[in-house]
Parts: sequence; C-alpha cells; structure tokens
Amino acid sequence: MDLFTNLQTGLGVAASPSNLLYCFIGCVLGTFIGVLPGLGPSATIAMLLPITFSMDPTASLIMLAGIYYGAQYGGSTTAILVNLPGEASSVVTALDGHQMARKGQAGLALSTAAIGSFIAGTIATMVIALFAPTLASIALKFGAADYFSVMILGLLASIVLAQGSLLKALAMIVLGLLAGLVGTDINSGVNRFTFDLLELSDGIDIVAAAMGVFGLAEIIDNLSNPEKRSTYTGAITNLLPTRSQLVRIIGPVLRGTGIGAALGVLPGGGALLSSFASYAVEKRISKEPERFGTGAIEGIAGPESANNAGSQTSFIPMLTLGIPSNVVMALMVGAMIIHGVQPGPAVIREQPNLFWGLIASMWLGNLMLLVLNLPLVGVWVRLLSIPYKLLFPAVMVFTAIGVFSLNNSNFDIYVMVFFGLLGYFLRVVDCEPAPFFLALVLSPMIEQYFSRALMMSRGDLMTFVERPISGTLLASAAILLVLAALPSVRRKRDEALKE
Amino acid sequence: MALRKASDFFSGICFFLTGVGAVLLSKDYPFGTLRSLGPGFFPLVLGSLLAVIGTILTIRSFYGEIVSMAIPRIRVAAMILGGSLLFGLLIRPAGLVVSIVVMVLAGAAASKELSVATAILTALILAAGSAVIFVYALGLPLPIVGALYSGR
Repeated sequence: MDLFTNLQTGLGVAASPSNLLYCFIGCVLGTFIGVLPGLGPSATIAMLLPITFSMDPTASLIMLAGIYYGAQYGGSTTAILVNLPGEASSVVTALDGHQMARKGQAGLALSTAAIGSFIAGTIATMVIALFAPTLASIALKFGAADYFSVMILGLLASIVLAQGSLLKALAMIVLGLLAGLVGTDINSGVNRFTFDLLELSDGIDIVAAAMGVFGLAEIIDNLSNPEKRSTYTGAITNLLPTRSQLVRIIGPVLRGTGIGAALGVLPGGGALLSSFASYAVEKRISKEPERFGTGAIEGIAGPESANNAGSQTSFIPMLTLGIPSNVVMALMVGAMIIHGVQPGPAVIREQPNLFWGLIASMWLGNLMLLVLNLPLVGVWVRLLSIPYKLLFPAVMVFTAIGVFSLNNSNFDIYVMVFFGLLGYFLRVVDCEPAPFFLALVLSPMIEQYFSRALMMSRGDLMTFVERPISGTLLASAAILLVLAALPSVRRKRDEALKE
Repeated sequence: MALRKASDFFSGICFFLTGVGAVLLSKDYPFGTLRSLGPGFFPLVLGSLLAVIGTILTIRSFYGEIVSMAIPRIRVAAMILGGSLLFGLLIRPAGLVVSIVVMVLAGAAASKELSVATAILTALILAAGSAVIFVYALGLPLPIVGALYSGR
C-alpha cells in the first residue's frame, strides 16, 4: 500500500531523536500558551519564527504545528477550571466544562476533553494522509481563475465566521486587501502606497503585522478589561472515565471529529467554527437539550474533538494549495517560505520527507499531549496562578525581540506598533481583525491570479464563471454569502457565536 | 437625528477616508485594461468599494437601536505601543538591555496593578534573561550594549 509506505517514511522522519524533541517542545509550548489566557498560538508562532531560522525546515514546521494543536489541548484545561477560554476555540467548552468542575467532576471533564482530542487528532491525521495527496493532484490542474476563486471563497467564509456585523467584516476584507497591495507591484514595478519609504517596497511584513494586530492589541485589550476569574480550586480526582462514561462520549467524539475534519478543510474554517458547530449539533440531537449549559459531558466531548480535528485538517489547504485558511496557517506559510519551501501542490512530490514527516509528527504529538495533559494536569493548573500583570511585560519583550530579529530591522518594530494601533482601533469599533489579516496575506496572490486569469481569457471576465472548478467555488461563495445575510440564519449565527 | 451606533459611525468614517485616500493615490498608477491589468486597477476598485462600505456604515449609524461603544483606553494603548516604539528607537543606539528596561517600565505604567519596585525588578529580570536566552544561548545577532557605549 502506498499510504503505508508514505506513513512509514513519515514516521521514520518524525521519530528521529531531534524531530521528536522539537515536536515535544512544540507540544509543551502549545499547552503552556493554551493554558494561559491572553496568549494565543498566532502570537507565539510569530514570536518563535526568528528562532527557527537556523533549524532544519522539517523540524521547525513540526515544532510550530505542535504549538498550534497543543494550544487546543491546553485551552480546554483553562476553560474547564477557570471558566475562561484559554483559546478562542475553547469558548464552548467553558459552558459545560466549568459547570462539571463545580459539581466536582473536573477530572472527568478534563479527561473527556483530552481523550476526545486524542481520538479526533488520530482520525484527522489519517484524513490528511488519505486526502491531501489526492487534493494535491487535483490542485495541479488548477488554473489561475480557480486559484482566484478558492481564495475568494476562503475570504467570504471568514466573513461568515466573524462576529457581529457582516458589513464590517466585508470592510475588514477590503481594507486587508488594500493593505496587502502596499509595496512594489510585481508586474509593473510601480511602488504602490509606499509613501516614499524604501522599507515598504517589499510590502508589509506579515509577521510584524500579526504581532501588532494579535500581540500588542491583545495586551491593550486584556489590560483594559481586567479579567474576572473564578478558578476551581478543589482537588482533581477520578481522571479516568468509567466504561459507561466512555460509551456515552464515544458518539459525540466521533460526530465532533467528523464535523471538525470537514469544516477544518474549508478555507476560513478551522478550530473555532468546528467547536461551535459541534456544540450546536450535540444540543440539537440530544434527548435532553436542557442539560446543556449545566454540565453535559456531550457538550465537552463533541466540541473538544471538533476543534482538534479542525485544527489538524486546516493544514490540508495550506499543504496542498499553498493557501492559508486561517491566521496560524498564514504564519506557517511564512515559515515555509523563510526556509525556501514554496507551499503548494508540489510539496508532496518534491519534499516527501517534510510532508509525511509533518503528518506523522502530528500523530506522535497528539500522543505526547495526551500524556502531558492528563497525568500532568496539576502542573498546568499551577500556571494559572501567574498573574497577567507579570505575564504581559514578558510578552512585550518576546514580541519586540522576535519582530526585530526577523530582518534585523527597526522598521519592522514601527510596522508592528502601527498595526498594534490599528488592531486596537478595530477592536474598539467592533471589527474582527482575523478577516483583515487573512486578506492582507492573500492580497498579492489574489491580484496576481486575477490578472493572470484575465490575461489568458483575453480580458473576458466570464472565465471565472465558465471554468468548472472556478464556477463551482464562486457559486459556493455566493450561496455562503446569501445564507449569512438571511435574517433567520444570521440570528442562529449570532446565537452560536455569542459567548 | 442622533448618533445611535458610535462604533459604526467611527469605523464608517475611517473606512470612507481610507477608501477615498486609496482612490486618490491610485490616480498615479496606470489603470490598464481588463486584458492587461495595470497597477492602478486593484487600488481603484478596492478603494471605491471601501469608500462605499464606509458611507453605508456611517449612514446606518444614525438608525436602529442604540448600541453603546467601548471607551478606548488611550493611556493603556499609549503606554504599550509607546514602549514598543521606544524599543525600536533604542535597540541600535543603546542596546538590548537598556531598550528592554525602558520598554517594560513604559508597559508596566499601563497596568495599575504593578508597583514601581515590581516593575523595576521585572524589567531587570527580563533584560538579563533575554540577553542570556536570545543572545548567548540562541545566538541572535542583537547588540547587548549598543553602539553608544562601544564607541562605534
């Protein structure tokens, strides 16, 4: 079997002592920042990028990936014990998880989350291994118009996920696309929106922008809204679920995995949407929906599995099309380019060790996380006693050093400060920064594919509709937008996205 | 007529101005044709779109139910952003240790919970720790003491 030879190759790469070590470091760091509220995987990955410069590309991707899915594990610990999502994707876990903790079932809630995540991670890894090569071979047939449409679909999907007003989310995308135009136009060599600043001719550095929008702006936000913590302080007992409890969670876990794996592949999807969707499904099919919100174990098992499956399968569009589906994936693309690997359908063929090594490492990482999170949960809980006032100065320092070291440039620090200001302004006026950032990253590619498609069709705009792949993608994007604008669907969406 | 949604109003105005600005700047870039797009095509289209969205948001902010807006915390924002800015200005002339101490002290002023003594201690620990971890252990090319002191 081809698949098994490939996975074997991957395991061989991932199980080498140094890669195992990096995978472990990534998972520990991921759990660490997942547990700590106010510090997310995007900021952490951006901070660590400069350190990976000297590392082997496979090792650095393995470590960065570990941070991302590790954060999903750690986020649930905080959600359950403190009723505060350690990560955005753990918001729904807090609903029932914290209620369970207050009833003295903290151990059961934690183990449900960890076991669900592990099962989901294992299945999602298989899904990537099975589907990514197929998708990559389809992607090789993609023309410029198809690439353009898949990115439009991704951006519109990220609107649907944004909280609040659709119009503002649309404005975020347009603003991001505009910001992405800054720099030298590849086709004409014209400097656009650079205001005669030489440093801007290469465009806005996405890592510096990410650190501003997600690092600094979040610090300001956190300091402005002092958190109210209600930490569960009782002993954590009965970590292992009984057989009957296992039987009870297996259904939600498998459904959550399916939902997460499917939604994670969608551009704009990933961990956040998956957990919300899974919670909604579990509540809908439950015989006693009124139990949800008061400590229903299904309300943890489903979403926790879904967010982990979603975070893993969101690697698929990045690895096969080279198109990032969320902020973390955009930074991963940046990491690959730094190491001279151009993400896209050719990666599987030209860098099989990197591709399969990364996939195999995800499974090994999930195994490590299961061990890290269950027996060692007490260690992580102690982390929660670190007050934010001591944490944020450290984040400021790491952020500044990380951004400066990218190109050894003061200018990148100024870019970060500018985007910090912008990011804070956007938060104040209720605009979600995630679609903005995704658009900023995709903008140069969108322009390039758009103009290339038109060049090939001799200026005929119908090419985007007439090509079967592109037409289907654009039609899905249109349906998505119409659905999101429908009043009844909007109400549902607002309910689901409401904390 | 009264303002009902302050956040829609302020964001709308800003989007409108940014959009108009982009359109004006794009006049310098050739528009091209559909068959061969010029560098002015995307700026013009996106700028106009942003200006339209901004206009709708601004108009809409006068209708519907009243939605209150979070009051921006200018002092907190200024301290955090200003601290990082100082780091950028100081890192080359004064080096890593000084710029971290300055940045952390500025940042600490943003939080009411940090006492002066704790802030100074945190700043010194972070400066020393960063020098050891990033420069000695990880080998990042950062000046520990800057050009001002080494006489370069």
